[in-house]
Amino acid sequence: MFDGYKTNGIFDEMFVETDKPRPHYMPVYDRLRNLGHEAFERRRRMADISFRNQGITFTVYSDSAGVEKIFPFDCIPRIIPSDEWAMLEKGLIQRLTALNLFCQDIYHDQRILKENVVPPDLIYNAKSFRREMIGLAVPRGIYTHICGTDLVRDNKGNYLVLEDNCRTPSGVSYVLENRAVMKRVFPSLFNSYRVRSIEDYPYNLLHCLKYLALEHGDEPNVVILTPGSFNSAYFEHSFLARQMGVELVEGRDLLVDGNIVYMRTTSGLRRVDVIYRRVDDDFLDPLCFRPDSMLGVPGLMNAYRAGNVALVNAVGTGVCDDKAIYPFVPDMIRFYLKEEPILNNVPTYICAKNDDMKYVLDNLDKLVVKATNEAGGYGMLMGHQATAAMRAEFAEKIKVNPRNFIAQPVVELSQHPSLCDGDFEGRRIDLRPYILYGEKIIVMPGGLTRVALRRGSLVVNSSQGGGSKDTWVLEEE
Amino acid sequence: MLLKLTHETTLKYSDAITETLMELRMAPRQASSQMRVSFNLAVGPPAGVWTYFDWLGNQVHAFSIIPPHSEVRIVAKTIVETQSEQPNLASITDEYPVNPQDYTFSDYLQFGGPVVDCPKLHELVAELETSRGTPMALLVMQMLHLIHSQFTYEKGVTTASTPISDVLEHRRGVCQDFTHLMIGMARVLKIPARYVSGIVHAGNASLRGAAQTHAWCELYFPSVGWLGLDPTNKTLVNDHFVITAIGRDYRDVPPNRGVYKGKAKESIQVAVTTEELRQVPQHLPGERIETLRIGLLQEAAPIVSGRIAQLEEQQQQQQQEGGQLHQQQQQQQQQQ
Amino acid sequence: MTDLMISSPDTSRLHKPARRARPMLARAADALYWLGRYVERSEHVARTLLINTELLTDVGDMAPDLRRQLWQALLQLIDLDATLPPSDTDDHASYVPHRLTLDDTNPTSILSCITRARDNARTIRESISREMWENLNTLYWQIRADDAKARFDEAPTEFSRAVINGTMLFQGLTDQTMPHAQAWQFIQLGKHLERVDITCRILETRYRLLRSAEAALEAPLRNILWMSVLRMCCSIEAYRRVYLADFEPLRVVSFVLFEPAFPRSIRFGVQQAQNAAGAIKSLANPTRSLSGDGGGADRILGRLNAELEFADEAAILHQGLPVFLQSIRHKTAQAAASIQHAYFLT
Repeated sequence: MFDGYKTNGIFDEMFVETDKPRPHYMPVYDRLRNLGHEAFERRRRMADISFRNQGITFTVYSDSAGVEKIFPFDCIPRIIPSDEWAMLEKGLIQRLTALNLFCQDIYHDQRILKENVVPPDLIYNAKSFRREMIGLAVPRGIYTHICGTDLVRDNKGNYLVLEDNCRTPSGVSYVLENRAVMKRVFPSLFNSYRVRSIEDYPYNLLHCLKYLALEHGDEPNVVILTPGSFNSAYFEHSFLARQMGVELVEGRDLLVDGNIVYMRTTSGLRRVDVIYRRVDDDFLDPLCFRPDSMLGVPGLMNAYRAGNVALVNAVGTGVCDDKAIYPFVPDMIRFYLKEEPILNNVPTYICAKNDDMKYVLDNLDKLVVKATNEAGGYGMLMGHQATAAMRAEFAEKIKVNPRNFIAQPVVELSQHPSLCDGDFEGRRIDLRPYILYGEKIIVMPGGLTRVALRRGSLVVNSSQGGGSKDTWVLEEE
Repeated sequence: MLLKLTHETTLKYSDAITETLMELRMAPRQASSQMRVSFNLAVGPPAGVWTYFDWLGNQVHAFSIIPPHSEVRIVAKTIVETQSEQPNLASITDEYPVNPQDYTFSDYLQFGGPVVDCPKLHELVAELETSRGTPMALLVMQMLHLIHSQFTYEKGVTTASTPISDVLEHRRGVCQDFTHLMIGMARVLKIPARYVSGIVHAGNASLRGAAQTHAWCELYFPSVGWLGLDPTNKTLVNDHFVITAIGRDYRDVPPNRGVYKGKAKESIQVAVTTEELRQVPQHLPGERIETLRIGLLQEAAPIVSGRIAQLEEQQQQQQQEGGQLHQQQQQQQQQQ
Repeated sequence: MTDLMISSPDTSRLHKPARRARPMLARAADALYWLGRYVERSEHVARTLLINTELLTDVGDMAPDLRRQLWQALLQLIDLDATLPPSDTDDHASYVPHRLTLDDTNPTSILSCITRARDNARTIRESISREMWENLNTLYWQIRADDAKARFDEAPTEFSRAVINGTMLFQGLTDQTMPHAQAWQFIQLGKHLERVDITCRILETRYRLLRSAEAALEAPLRNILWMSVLRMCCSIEAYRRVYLADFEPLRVVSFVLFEPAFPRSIRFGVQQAQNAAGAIKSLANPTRSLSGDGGGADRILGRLNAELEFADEAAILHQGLPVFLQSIRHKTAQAAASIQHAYFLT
């Protein structure tokens, strides 16, 4: 099945060059090479059935009719050796530490703004900057409890951070299910490696949530707040609630009275101490934010402000994953930690800076230009794929509002053998490890490896033709 | 001037409602131009009232009334001493343009909410004398004059959320609109400008905005700091004005803001009275919260046989969730 | 549920669930109750349709007016004032079945009921077993499938039987794969209140029809009609064991109403509903004062149960069957409203 496999001059996870696998992939290569189409197909079907039976779907909506889809799973595992992972782990911990300090700072002393390390107007113009959080003390000083940082590899094999997701990162349920399926479908292959376990994620998450309840330390009431069963990620909310043994609630199940949050039960009102909320800031509290929100809880922000309930992630963490602020994360690491970043950003040009804008306009055909304004309508330009007319049009948009754009060179994402029409072909992947910030910062070994299933595509999102793989981080030898 | 202010708000509902949650911005803030001596808040039906200071430094009182009720009443009484000596036009020595560099002014220089940046606003500003070196004092006078002469005070034309682009079309509005307009003009000129919600004591003068809550703005000049200006009455602020709360625009400082559960229609009545005092009354607490004797409603009456047919109909079908709820659920972004 | 947590080798790190029972969300209780009602409702709609169709075959050409009345009675099962659209031909034979089965504009069609049942189940998957969900989900997709209409047109009785089997399987799975705790009790409450209500309606509508047609009908035909009533209430074999082939109307009605040991009798249903309401009351142990008297549901049902225990044919004759049945329905509606007030609305 590896016959005809090409590395295409891109960094390949499995192969140094054609027919020459990297040492940590040898067992997989040997096993799969001798497996044959039918045997592999059988396993692929087994995996499919497993997912379908569990109902691990996400829902794509169009015209109010929802179609439940299975997030396509590719059986060939992605493997990361322990020394590589050790570096990633250190880098991710460093990065999240800095991001958390950044949140604390901009909602209190604003030192980083006063010293102009980050341009203040970028923060003040950011939609995700929540002024209501200024001066509000959050439990344990932690803002970014759960983060999913997207990593890619360039054509030299260097890991780069593509973006941090600090609001409601999703996908960890796939990680856990992928592992369960791989163990079922390739048990001997799995056992031939020493793979670091990820099954304690729900335990760690629960511990991290409980850690935030400062009173009621012995049995705090933790809940997950979901928008509802019509949300595309509802399965994950329900899954995590079951795994942790906590209640899954919607806004209408909660009530705030006297600044305390309660859950409506058949036995009366029961106090809630920690809310893992998968509802966006804007919809959390109609008294404070959008008054038309039907998903939130009136008075929740005041209960939060009074210190009677903890919210995970904290309100206002969107400033961390704002595209306009992303280029400054390495500066944050230097400013707060006095260290050099272990993990680098993808090189980014900030059009708000004149020199950068000039470079961008001169090199549009080699760059990917992204709008930082979430209001949308500005879109994205894939410079190397666009026509001259499209580039000219985009150049005008940039000149009118340079603050609104950043640009990055096209990153040749690494590729990984994946099953395509019965044979193995290289498909681009990325990696999203999940990081928990509680008593200490815990990085889940591995994470979600997302695959762009369409040939040549660099887009790995689930809604746009992506799939996923199990990720194996190896124990130290 | 020593003033006693009484601000009464009554909310009545056509049917029983539950779970009222409210936030009030009715306690005048301490400022260089005034000293709040005492504040008394009474709320009914009985509710525990909690207070905090928001990010703008305004004092907020919040409360919840959960059981069924059909009326909420709030009475806020303040005793405050306003400074008789306040800046006048001559105090402003700056010249146009100033272009403040401190980033903490950015909220007062940005457009947002009802203060929208639009061509008609720029047209209006173009009527001012804004060449380099123009004294700011002159600019201020011109702005006050322009608004007063070109816009008519008229109630019932605009609402709480009317943007200035509308006001610039039909040229009519109330104090809130004139204030937003002046703020808009100042921001075009890069003068930091903020919204003040407060109360004005008419006394012997005939000032618009008395007997209700009033709105004006403050503009920042390096030579004097924040200066209060009332475009509705075409005047600088003086000791007849009491500041309650300050913000970027109206949305930051509504005197009361609330949500409730139920299908009833809400009607609100507000009454403000002001009185000049000779001396501070004795034994006055700095701040006090009381309850008003307004009753809660009985729990929903038990089932009466007369309504059986309706009852059966109700029992046939479960309450269906609205389409809007589903839509909002679907729209929630999950970072996938 | 997944068996993911069990695979961790280090059990000391596993989360141990709290010893005491977790309180149940009011919204979950609401969903479980309606799940019970909607599944039960779809079973009855399917069965009455099936029996009615078979009945019409038996009736044949014996009484042409009767055919139309039978279809109308079926429509009136849920909406007592429903009427057939005016028509000369016999296309009620296609209109009514379709309206009751696959019409998504009809809130009480089988399709609507199963869809709502499933929507409710979806929001409380944590409270029901995997088998229950999969069964309901499968049933739903069968009815929703693109070829459902074609299958129904081709073999309508098969279709109805498949629905009945699916719902009965659901009941069985509910009893066998769920702990009989608060969640299960809410499903039972919904199921039994619905069953009592619909059985009353079956008796009411058939009684009305037979009353008006009686004079014109001969004995064999009347017997067939009363037998069909028993079939619709799932009671034919049990009845025969007691009364053999004597289908005297008052006897049939009394059996369906009062027979204490038979699970499909109205009295049995009221007893079961009362048990469920009582169990919920002690399990939920509400701390709020319930001035609307949610505890009232088990008392309302208790009084009704006592009434049925001591009533007999004479009571029915005295009041007239329609009034008697209506009063039962009123009381179950009162109990349902009381439950709603106590547990679902907070």
